[in-house]
Amino acid sequence: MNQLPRGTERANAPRQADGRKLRRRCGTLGACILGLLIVVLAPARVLAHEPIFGVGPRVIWKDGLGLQIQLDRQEEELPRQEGKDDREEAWVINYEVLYGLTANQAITLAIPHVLDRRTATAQNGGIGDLLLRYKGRFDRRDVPGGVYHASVLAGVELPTGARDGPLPTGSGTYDVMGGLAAGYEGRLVFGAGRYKRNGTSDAGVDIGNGLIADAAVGFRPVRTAYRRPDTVVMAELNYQSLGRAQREGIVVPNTGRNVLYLSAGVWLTYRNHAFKPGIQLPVHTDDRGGASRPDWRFVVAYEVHTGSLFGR
Amino acid sequence: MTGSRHHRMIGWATTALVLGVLLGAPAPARADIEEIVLRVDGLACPFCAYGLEKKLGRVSGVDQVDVQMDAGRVILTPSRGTVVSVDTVERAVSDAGFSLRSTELTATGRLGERGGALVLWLDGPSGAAIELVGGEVPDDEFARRVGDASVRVSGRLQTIRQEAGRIVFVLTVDRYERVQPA
Repeated sequence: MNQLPRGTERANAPRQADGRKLRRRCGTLGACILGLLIVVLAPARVLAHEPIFGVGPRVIWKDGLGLQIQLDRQEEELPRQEGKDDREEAWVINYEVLYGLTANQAITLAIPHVLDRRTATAQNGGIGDLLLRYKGRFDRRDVPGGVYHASVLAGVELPTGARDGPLPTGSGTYDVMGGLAAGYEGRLVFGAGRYKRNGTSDAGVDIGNGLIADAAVGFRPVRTAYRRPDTVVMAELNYQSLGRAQREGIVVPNTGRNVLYLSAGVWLTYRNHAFKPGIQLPVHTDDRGGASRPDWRFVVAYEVHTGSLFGR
Repeated sequence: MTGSRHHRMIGWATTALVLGVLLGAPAPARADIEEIVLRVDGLACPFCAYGLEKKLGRVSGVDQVDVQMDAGRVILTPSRGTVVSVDTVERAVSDAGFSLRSTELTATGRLGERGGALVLWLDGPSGAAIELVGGEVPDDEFARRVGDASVRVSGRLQTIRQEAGRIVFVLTVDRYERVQPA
């Protein structure tokens, strides 16, 4: 899952909570949850696929090779400083290579390239922190037209991104991640939880650790044959909690936040090709009194699966 | 009629006779596994099933792979004259990340007997054979009537074993028929 390059310390700026805006978003959230429940009760085998903004339990086949290129556009509302509003916008291309070690284990290498990250006063770009992730499916039960499965996730982000300037493309730390993903393709549901242990930057800041939880449902309006184009509509709830940063045991102001997102996307596939656009909106943000607040996010990805380079 | 014209007519007649014999003769009996039907669990989406097609397509002797999502099955068409390794097929399904529930064969060969069991010879008494056990096994009267003619048998594969260097499939028969000559 992609996020804005981390590591930038924000100035201290208290923020007022907007009660009416929160209630409106909760009402929208309630309607969305009801909609998801309705989709859950849909007939069998119309629900499938992996989440677009989360990580599902599925792995590619043994010796299979997957390639994905994803364009990611994110926007954040920065803490108000000296009465000025500022926003941060980022365009990132993620290149991913996926390989099936066995029928139930796969590794992924993700290379983010920050095309442009800018605020009103600063701009940067370049390679971000590489991600190496392992997924091991430890439980699988195949049934006619569907599968129950669960996987363990483990990953490490390498500090390959740049640290120069006010908008670095990398965190400067080795960050590790572990988690679980489970789901039932064919009828629903995907659920995943990940915990990310962020390291200490070279400025001596211990960046807060992150907890990510996702729930997703996919709905296939028309059941198609194998060699026909296939469409699945995805709806997701994504939760991210980022702990406060600390420097020498003292909490850094304007860091850490909890965000609940509502996401929607579409899987358009034909045999081994997949096109996946999606949009993510924050429906509830707790910025803990001063951190940046995420705004909308848009991704579009193309993924292709092919045989092994080794000809197996 | 001159001599050269007479010889040409004999030549054309002989050619016509030989062609007539060849084209009119009954086709030699075919011995073949015509189709393998795999019942596969876990076929949740077409994008996910691509790996299954990829793996099965690489099995030696498999000519075509037809994935049928709704029916939960995959139909393999072997190349003529080849005996596909069912063990390899089962491993391909497993490597693709799916579960094989059952395997069905449709094969053509000659009925015979071995060790008191009715068999379908795929490649002569020294080659691969299918033991026909259970289900709709052809009776003695049918075997006597067809003689050496080809018979097509379909059924569920129970097991496979090796016997003196020969592959033996054990099949529960669903249906059988005599193959009419072309």
